[in-house]
Amino acid sequence: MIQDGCTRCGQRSNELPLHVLTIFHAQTERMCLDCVRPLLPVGFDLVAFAESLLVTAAPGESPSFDLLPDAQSCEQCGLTFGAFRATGLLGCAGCYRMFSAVIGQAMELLHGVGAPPQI
Amino acid sequence: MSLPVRDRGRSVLPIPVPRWLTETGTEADVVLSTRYRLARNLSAYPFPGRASEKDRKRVAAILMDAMSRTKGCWARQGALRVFEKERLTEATLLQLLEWRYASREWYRSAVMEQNAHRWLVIAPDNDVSLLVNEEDHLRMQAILPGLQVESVHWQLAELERALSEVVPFASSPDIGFLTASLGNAGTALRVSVLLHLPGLAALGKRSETLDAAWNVGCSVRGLYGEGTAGTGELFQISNAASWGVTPLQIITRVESAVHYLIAAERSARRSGFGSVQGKQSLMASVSEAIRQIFREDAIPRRLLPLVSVLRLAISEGILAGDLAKANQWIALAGVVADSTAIQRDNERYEAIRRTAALRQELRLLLDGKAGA
Repeated sequence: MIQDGCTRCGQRSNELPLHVLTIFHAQTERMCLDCVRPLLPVGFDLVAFAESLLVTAAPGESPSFDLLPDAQSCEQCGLTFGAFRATGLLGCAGCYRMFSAVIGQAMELLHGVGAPPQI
Repeated sequence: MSLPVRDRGRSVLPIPVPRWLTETGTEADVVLSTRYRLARNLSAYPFPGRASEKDRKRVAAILMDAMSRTKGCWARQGALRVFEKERLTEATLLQLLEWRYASREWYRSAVMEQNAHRWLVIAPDNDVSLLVNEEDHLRMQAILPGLQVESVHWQLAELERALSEVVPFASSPDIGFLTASLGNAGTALRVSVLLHLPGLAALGKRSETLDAAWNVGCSVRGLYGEGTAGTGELFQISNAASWGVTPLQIITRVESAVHYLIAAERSARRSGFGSVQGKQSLMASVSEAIRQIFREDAIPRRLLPLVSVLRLAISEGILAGDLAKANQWIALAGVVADSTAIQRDNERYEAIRRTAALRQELRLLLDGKAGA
């Protein structure tokens, strides 16, 4: 999990997800949602943005959350974790079990921390 | 509006005009349509992006069979219109995109890939379409005219329930419904309302107003591409989260953001175009837009902002005409505003075809019952 607070305000609130944001293609900062919002253009798609978190960290770079080894693959469809990070797309229903260690965190980033499951 | 299309000799079914282009719903001055989309997958097969041709073919067969077995649960009885990508011309594919039966993702991959076993089914009511082998195995969507968030929910919920009794959809207790993209997982529901916000833009208040929608958990994007020039002031307001919320919570969230934006847009229009001076200024913009459309070198990507002005003028009573017709113009111009929608070698052809169709419509309007 992310341990550090927001680089702008130091906030470590459990209520707000912390996002790693690459601003203007140059600088990577860890920021809380409150600090990120004023920096983004209106019309910015938060879901697409959060999905992009999966692909901003290149192999070997500091990831936004605990990652699995890139070579780890799904037993059902063969998709590697590295391929998932590169495209942001899972290969099958089995990938959810295989990459469950990461998927819980990613879902929190995408949809909000502590969201209870609903069907 | 029906357009002459270039056909390569392959026979295709006629595509019915969707209701969002023939009728106006509630709040029609600002809201063009409400779309409700569900994503579902079969647990035994890889998602389409990872599936072999054999798997996709099998998935398509299972889903097409399921649709035929649940016909009694469709909102209106009648034949399903079934389109198999391999049998469609490029013109038909583009028409399906223009009328939003097909998504951009389905259209793009349909144009680029062979033997992908992509199918599109239009329900007898012309509101519901089902896409097979899109990013997920099945995407179901209903589009209704105007703001009809709850109606659109019930329209699709019954069909989804019936299909799920025939085909078990992939889900897990922790997540909900499983989709190729985590951004869709959970309820796998996206509610999108298409709004026309030229008043806010004219007043310079678009950004701050859209920010408010964002703050209540909605995302905002241009339907026909991003950036200020190409959007024609048309914006889609959708739920940002699809996990950890119920469908009814999603509906409430989107509806409240949309009601706020409608009120703000109407206020902006009163302020911008309510006075004699404001009306004169809008009339001048309409005249200029019509002049531009009749220029010889009309560029397809520039049509949308011009049509946007015409729709505003109709809504404000400056130009005679009805809003459903204006929505058809928006669809006609909008699909070519997105540079990724049209292949480069077709661009000139589409420019001529669409500009000509629009000119013909405008001639009828201006000659018959001119209000400008």
